[in-house]
Amino acid sequence: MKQHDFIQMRQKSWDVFAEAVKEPHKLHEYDIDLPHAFRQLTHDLAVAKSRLYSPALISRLNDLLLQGQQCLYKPGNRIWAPFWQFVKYDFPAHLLLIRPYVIWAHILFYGFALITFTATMIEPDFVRNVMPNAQVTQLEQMYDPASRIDENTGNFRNERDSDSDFLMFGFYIKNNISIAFQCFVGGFLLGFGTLYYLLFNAIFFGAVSAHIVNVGFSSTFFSFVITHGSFELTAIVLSAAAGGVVGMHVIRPGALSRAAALKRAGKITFPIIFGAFLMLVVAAFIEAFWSSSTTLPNAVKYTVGAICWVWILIYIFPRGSRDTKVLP
Amino acid sequence: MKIDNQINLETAEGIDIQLTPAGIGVRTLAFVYDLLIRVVIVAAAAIALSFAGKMGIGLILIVVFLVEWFYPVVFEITKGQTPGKKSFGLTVVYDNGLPVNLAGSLIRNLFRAADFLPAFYLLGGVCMLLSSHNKRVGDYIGGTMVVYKEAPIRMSYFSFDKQQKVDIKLDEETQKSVIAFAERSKTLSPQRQQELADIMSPITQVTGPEAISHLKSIAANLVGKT
Repeated sequence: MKQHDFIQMRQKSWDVFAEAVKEPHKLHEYDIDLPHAFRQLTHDLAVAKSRLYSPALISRLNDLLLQGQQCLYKPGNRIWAPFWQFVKYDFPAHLLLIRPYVIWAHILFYGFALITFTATMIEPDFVRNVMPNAQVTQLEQMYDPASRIDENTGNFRNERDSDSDFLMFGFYIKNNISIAFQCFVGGFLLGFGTLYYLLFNAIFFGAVSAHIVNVGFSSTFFSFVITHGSFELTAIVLSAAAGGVVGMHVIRPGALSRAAALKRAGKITFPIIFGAFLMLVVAAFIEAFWSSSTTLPNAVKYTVGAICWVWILIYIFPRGSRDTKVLP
Repeated sequence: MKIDNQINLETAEGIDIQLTPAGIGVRTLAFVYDLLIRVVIVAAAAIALSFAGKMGIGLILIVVFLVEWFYPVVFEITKGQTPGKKSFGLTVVYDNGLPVNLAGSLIRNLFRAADFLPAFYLLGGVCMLLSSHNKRVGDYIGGTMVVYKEAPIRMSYFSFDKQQKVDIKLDEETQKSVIAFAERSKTLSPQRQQELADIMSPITQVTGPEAISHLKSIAANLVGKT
């Protein structure tokens, strides 16, 4: 059969098909058995290709098929159910899968933080090895309880206005996410990048906390950081654990090629990174709208903070057997 | 010989569908287009909200946050393409050619932050250049790709002045080229048609304006038009 006759024979059903798939949500208005029409179309395309019909015909059929496929197999667009599924099952399952890395990341982060904390407690000037003088002064000002009572000291008044809460929210998200990503992406440098960023932040965190204690502002500082710290520090530690997984897959790919090992590592770690992102958004909310409040009594903040810590630790160390594979 | 970058996707029905991944150049243009739109949105919000005092500044920052992280997501899951991509005829699909939904879109746009590293999308750019389907890191992780969304193809019916008796044996590839020439002839200027027809003159033994109608006759014969 020549091309012209073929087109004449099939043209009508193609037109019907094209019309129907144009508006997928109105499909029921058309009297068309879409799966059947689709299979017929694939057949037409196969015929057209094998008989060397013209490129224009083939690409038109190809285009129709693509539209048909997108219409037939379009994935659903539900929003909340996948989120819930992720938070309740996928994220904890992947955390379980990389538990040794999670534990090591915690040990390294809090271990080094503790070391610099102790060092700064014993030798207060140690903090100046970690950050320059100007920054130390700025830090002291930030957590100085006196600056909150004095109306004229500028930025930090009795209660920060809610508008600057919004401002800080944007700032925190940006800052934390970039730290988390640095920790993760550092994994590609054989894991050394991850180690560098994790330890850098640990040392900084330890030294700063101890310095605040040394200068006697601990109540403003710890009441500020305790609540959102649970989400924020944990998210950063988890990103580092994910970076560690990537680094280890590069160093020791096992039976796989390095490229395949990296792909595998990506598959294991991306739910971790996504989960960390969600945690950081939550942390930024808490940090901007709850932690900064000075009207709440410290006792409430400590209680809520402690509850958050306990909950998050239970969450990221789920019970279960690591033999249960979540990956094929 | 394969000189294009089309990829074949095999469907469950056992047929290949062809898609063309978009390269780094056109995607950069689309990105800049989107960037300009985002700047305009933020600027408009800034002007409107600047009258709301300090609260306004906070709201502006929320707008910046939303526009930065969710501008592409919203457009990709509702329309399959951001305005920038639309203007360059691109669309985001999953690796199997299906339209992207929330999960894929969220992941590929969240991992922009990784693509951006160390500065100005260097990692994403390098990744795209090394990738056969022009994927950046976010595309790999989300299992998505950016492809050309072709305008609906109109079947063209070529016309010719007079049917000529043709008795030439052509091989399969040449047959296809001749038919393609005839079908595309409406979009080509007469001069260009002439140039193309002259290429065939060693085979058809015809030159000048005759060659065009001669080729069209051959094409008509091949497709069975009389």
